[in-house]
Amino acid sequence: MELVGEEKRIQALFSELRLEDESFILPFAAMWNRANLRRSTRRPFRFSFVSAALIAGVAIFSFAVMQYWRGNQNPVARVEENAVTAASPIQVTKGPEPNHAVKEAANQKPNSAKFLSRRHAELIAANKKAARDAAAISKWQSPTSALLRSPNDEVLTSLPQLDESASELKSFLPRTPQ
Amino acid sequence: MNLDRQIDAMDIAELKAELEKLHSSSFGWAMSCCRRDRELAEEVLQTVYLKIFEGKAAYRGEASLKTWLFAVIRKTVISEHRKRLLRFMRFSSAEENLEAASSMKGPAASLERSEEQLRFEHALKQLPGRQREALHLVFYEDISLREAAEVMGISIGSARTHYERGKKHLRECLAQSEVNYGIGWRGKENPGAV
Repeated sequence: MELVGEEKRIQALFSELRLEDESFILPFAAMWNRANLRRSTRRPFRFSFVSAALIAGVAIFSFAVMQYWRGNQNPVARVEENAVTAASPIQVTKGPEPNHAVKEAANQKPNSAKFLSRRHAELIAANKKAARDAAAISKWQSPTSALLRSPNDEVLTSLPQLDESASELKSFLPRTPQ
Repeated sequence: MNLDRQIDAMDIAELKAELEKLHSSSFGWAMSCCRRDRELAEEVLQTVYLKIFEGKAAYRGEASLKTWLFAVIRKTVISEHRKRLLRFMRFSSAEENLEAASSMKGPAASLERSEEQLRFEHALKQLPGRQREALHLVFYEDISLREAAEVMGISIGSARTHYERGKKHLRECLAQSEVNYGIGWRGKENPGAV
């Protein structure tokens, strides 16, 4: 490329820039070695490890969701079910020498049955209280309801029946002056 | 299997020797792409060597080695800029620190450099990326506009446009910074640039 005028000037400036760059450039070997060092320190991507971690994560998450879902099930049904199981007699085998595991089970079951029966009683009490509250609400009357009563309430709140006589039906008709 | 390994090793050794020859040019090009940020240029060049070493950037002989290498450097700089854009806040603070550091070492360094050169570098930084790249490739690396177009991944017509506009823009920037090149900058245009 033949350069003229300003281009020669620009090239001179670029040459000066190049000289300046070369004064502080790192040697190739040093940079190459640094690149190799970076390569060795970098952790390789292991697909098997990542997939195993992913599967474990999904399993833990699904287990947690299942536990949460079971915890949110209808508590009445659960407690009643447990109460039924607790009410059933505990069968302890009366062998010559009962082993240790059976003894532990026999010690633990009464506690759980007591707990379940207490929960059941609490639940029944709560239900009774809710029923009482509902009845009280249905019987409640406003203190100003008396002010809304009028002599014509009976006419306004009753309807004529199909099999009523004509004279009785007249009571529903407006009184017109004759 | 062993033969393949020997061939690979030989290829890498050959490539390494070629890269060593082009090292200073590569560094200059990386400096230009990184807007004269020396640390970033070194990091980019290391990443490029790493890519070549790992085989992520493979030379297939479709262009000259220099053109291919410069294109790899350019793409690496672009991806590095994208990464830095994502962590913008950190980058901006780092840049401020860098600027502060450069200003600290500025007086000593600027004594060594001529005022003319400082103004030239400042004017270069003001140029749009493509124009700066075109000028750098032609004047610094001394390659033809056709090769510059290959490196930049554009057509030769576009490269020529960037080259011409870059020269014009550079002249204006230098004139604005009151460089005493009044006579020199009014020289004839070079029609046979390619």
